[in-house]
Amino acid sequence: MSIASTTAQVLAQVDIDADGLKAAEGASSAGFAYGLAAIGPGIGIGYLVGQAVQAMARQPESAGTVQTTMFLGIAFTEALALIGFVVFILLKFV
Amino acid sequence: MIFGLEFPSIENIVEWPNFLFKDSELFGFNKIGFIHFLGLVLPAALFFIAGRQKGLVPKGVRNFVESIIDFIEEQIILPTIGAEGMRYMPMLMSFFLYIFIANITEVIPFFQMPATARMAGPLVLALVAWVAFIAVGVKHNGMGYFKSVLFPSGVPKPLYLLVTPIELLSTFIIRPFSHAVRLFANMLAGHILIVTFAVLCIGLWAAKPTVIVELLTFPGLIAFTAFEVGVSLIQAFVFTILAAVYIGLALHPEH
Amino acid sequence: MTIQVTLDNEVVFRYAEDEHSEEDGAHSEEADEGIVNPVIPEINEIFWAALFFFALWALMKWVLLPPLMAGREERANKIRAARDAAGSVDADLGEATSNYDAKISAAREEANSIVATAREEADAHRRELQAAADAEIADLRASADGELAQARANALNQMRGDVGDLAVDAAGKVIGADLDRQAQQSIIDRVLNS
Repeated sequence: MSIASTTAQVLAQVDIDADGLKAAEGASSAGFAYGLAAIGPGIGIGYLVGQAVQAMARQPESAGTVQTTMFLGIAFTEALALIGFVVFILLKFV
Repeated sequence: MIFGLEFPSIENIVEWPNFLFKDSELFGFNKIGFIHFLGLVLPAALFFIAGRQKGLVPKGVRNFVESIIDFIEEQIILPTIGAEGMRYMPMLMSFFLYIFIANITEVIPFFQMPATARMAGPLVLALVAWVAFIAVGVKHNGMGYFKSVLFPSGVPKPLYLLVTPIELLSTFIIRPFSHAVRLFANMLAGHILIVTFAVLCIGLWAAKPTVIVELLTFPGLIAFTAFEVGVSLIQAFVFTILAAVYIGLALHPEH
Repeated sequence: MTIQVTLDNEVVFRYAEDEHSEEDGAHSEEADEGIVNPVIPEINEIFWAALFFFALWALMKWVLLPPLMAGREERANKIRAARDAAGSVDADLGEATSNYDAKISAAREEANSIVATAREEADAHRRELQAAADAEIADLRASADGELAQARANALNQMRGDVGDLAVDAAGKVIGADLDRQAQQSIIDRVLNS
């Protein structure tokens, strides 16, 4: 396959319709949206669970309370990533 | 497209045709409705059998049910609301079991669909929790509840320009939606994950059976199924404990 | 959804699109638009979810939980009562022990005081007896001394008489003459007294 024919194929595909363009942009921005939204909560949850494990290791008798609070913190932190996921769904599929 | 396989579009993995009242827009009864129906019937049957058992020492079903009650009491109510929160036990128990049944169908064969991966269920439950915590706040603190939330004490007066709109948004408007979306998005993500691996397994098996092992898709499917069992439980727990936290905050808004 | 595998190992997923849009009344409008939003809730699912949830809540509140909570309450009360009973028994035991200890110490004190008074009495008695014995001994010694002095005086007197007689007799024999007893006696007394 020569370069010329490849170029011809690309040129033939240039006149893609508006819907296709929108879908392509949606798909790529959906990936970015979710990827970016996952960074902060990823760091946050890691830090949170690490601290919780440290607290539980220092005071095993209060492990129950720490665990409950840890789940609460994870839930609040995770919400950001989940909103990113919803944005992903909206961009990708709507 | 994944590895040359056509991935099913989103409506094909989360939307289900009605099988009762097919033409009614309001009463259309599909698989989601059926799962929610199970969420009513299974806990009700379990608790009814347990409640009929007499005697002081619980055993069998009653033992199991009482351990659920103990779990709700010790892990959810006491740390968040305190001993006075025991009167919200019916609501929190309903939240927990209803959501858990709706979640766990994600990995139950022949269902393979979490009812909470549709926005309807989580939204209803979150609105119930929203109405409940506002009602509790107004009942126990009167109209002072809104004042104590919107104008928290100890804040310099000019800062109310900033604090009040934020509190209004975060407490009364965003809270029910984040509460619902947290559950919904978790379960939808899990469902899509399992569907992805299942599609890979099916497609690659059809192409060449050994590919599955080579690509670890089948072990991955099993691992994610086990992971989703834990997620089902934790998300039901998290939704319930958040409802309890909101109620506890409404009961004592000064904290 | 059905899956077909062609002879060329091509996989074809076939979705029940047609049925789907025909059967799902709420969905067909969206399907016509070609856009399905998976985030927007469907009204029929909201209806059933709400219906079943409120049914479960009502059942939990009025039918299912009350007997279980009553059973738990009863058991907790029984345990509390048993614990209280055990606590009161413990308290009784403690009280009895302290009573017993108090009694023991009181008895010990009493015994000590009894012993002390007895010892004092015994001491006093002994002192009295000692004094009496001393007095008696002194009396006895005094009377014995008196008797002794008497006896000595008697013996001296007697001896004085005898010695006088003897000396007078002896001197009479020596000189062959009767000596005047009376006259010689004064000489003898002078000798004996010197």
